[in-house]
Amino acid sequence: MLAMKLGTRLALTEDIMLQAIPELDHYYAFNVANGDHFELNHTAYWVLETIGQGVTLAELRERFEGQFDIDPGTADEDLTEVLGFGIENHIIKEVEA
Amino acid sequence: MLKDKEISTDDLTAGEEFYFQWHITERCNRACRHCYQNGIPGAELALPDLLTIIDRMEEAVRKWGKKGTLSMTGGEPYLRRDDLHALMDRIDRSDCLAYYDILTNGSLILETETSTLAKHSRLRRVQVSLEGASARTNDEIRGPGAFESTVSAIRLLKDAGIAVSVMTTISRFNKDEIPALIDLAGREGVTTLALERLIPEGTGARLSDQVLSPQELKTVYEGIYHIAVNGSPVRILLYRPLFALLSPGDPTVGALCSAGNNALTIMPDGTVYPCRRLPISIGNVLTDGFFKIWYGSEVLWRLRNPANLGGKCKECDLITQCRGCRAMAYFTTGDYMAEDPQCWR
Repeated sequence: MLAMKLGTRLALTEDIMLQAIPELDHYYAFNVANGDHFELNHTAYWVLETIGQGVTLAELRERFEGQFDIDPGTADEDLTEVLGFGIENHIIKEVEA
Repeated sequence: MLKDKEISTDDLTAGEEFYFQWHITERCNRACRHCYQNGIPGAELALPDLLTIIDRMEEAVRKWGKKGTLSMTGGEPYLRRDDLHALMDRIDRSDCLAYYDILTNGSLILETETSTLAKHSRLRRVQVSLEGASARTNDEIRGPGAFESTVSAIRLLKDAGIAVSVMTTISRFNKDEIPALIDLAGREGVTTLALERLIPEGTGARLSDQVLSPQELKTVYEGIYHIAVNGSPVRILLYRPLFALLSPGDPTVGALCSAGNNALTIMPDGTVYPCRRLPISIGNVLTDGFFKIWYGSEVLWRLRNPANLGGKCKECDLITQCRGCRAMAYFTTGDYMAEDPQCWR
């Protein structure tokens, strides 16, 4: 898992906007300030959308396991990948420890 | 050699191109009866703001990995002659704006400036409009003297080696004269002929009885297509919605509406529309920027999702090639996602 405490609160970075066309299985994250654009899969979109609602890492992990009906180990692996992508590309940020 | 060939603009596919239709003024020295403007010019930006818009176009297309293309128009763009030339100079130096067209009624182009015009390296074509092959038909719509003025402009531009395109708006006024118009365009050495449908909007809303019925449009389009593929004297641009119905297997025929896909229209005050014929404000390029508009506009996202289409467009098996004209749907039904009311299927 990422080097984050479970109590860490996550948020979308300013200027990030999520968009989706579910009928076409198209999911995106956009930075409306610098124009960066990212194509997402449904799982990554769900994670970012949930982060946009304002959750801690613990809350996100719990909801993620329930949403996709997966075991904690798989959930951690998938979340690590999505959160790493989000932080690396300045899509998400930690707002408090 | 014509500029058209030098710049090889045909190499740009829809996937490579992002198109801006840029109205630098709404003022006009003519009062055409079918115009999509309402005849009341609004505010327009000074040259420094126009140059800022070019900066923003470049920023956007660089980020998107596309080549930008533009049409600069009005109103009548030559009513801002000095600014128009300044914009051309600026775009000529761009590393990511591939080419531009000027859309004009041609009446204000001076013989003394065509040689200067021909030197603009990114100028692809000058587009003028003709509504018929005769002064009688053309001037009925565009006003007395317009036919002679436009044909003179075509010859002036051609003599200077500038490629010329003609645009025609199809209605009951002129539908029977389209074949003769194609012949005229060929005789005058016109490079391309674009044919648009009359949309009952702006001043043109008063001509709603001149909008073709679906069967009338089908007959006209079949005639155009027949000429286009059988030795037309001018290249007829067939990549417009509904043309795909005539030959679904031909990739050069028909096209998806570009609204929401790879185009934006910028008005004289910086207001942005999905398409000039679909005048729904989705922001202002100076205050919002292209990224916020392109990524965030609910109107654009609604346009992008074919599941939002209504009526027979939603169920059509040609939905990957044609989604109809959203402006025609809007000005006929009030819903820009409604079926194209001129579709004959």
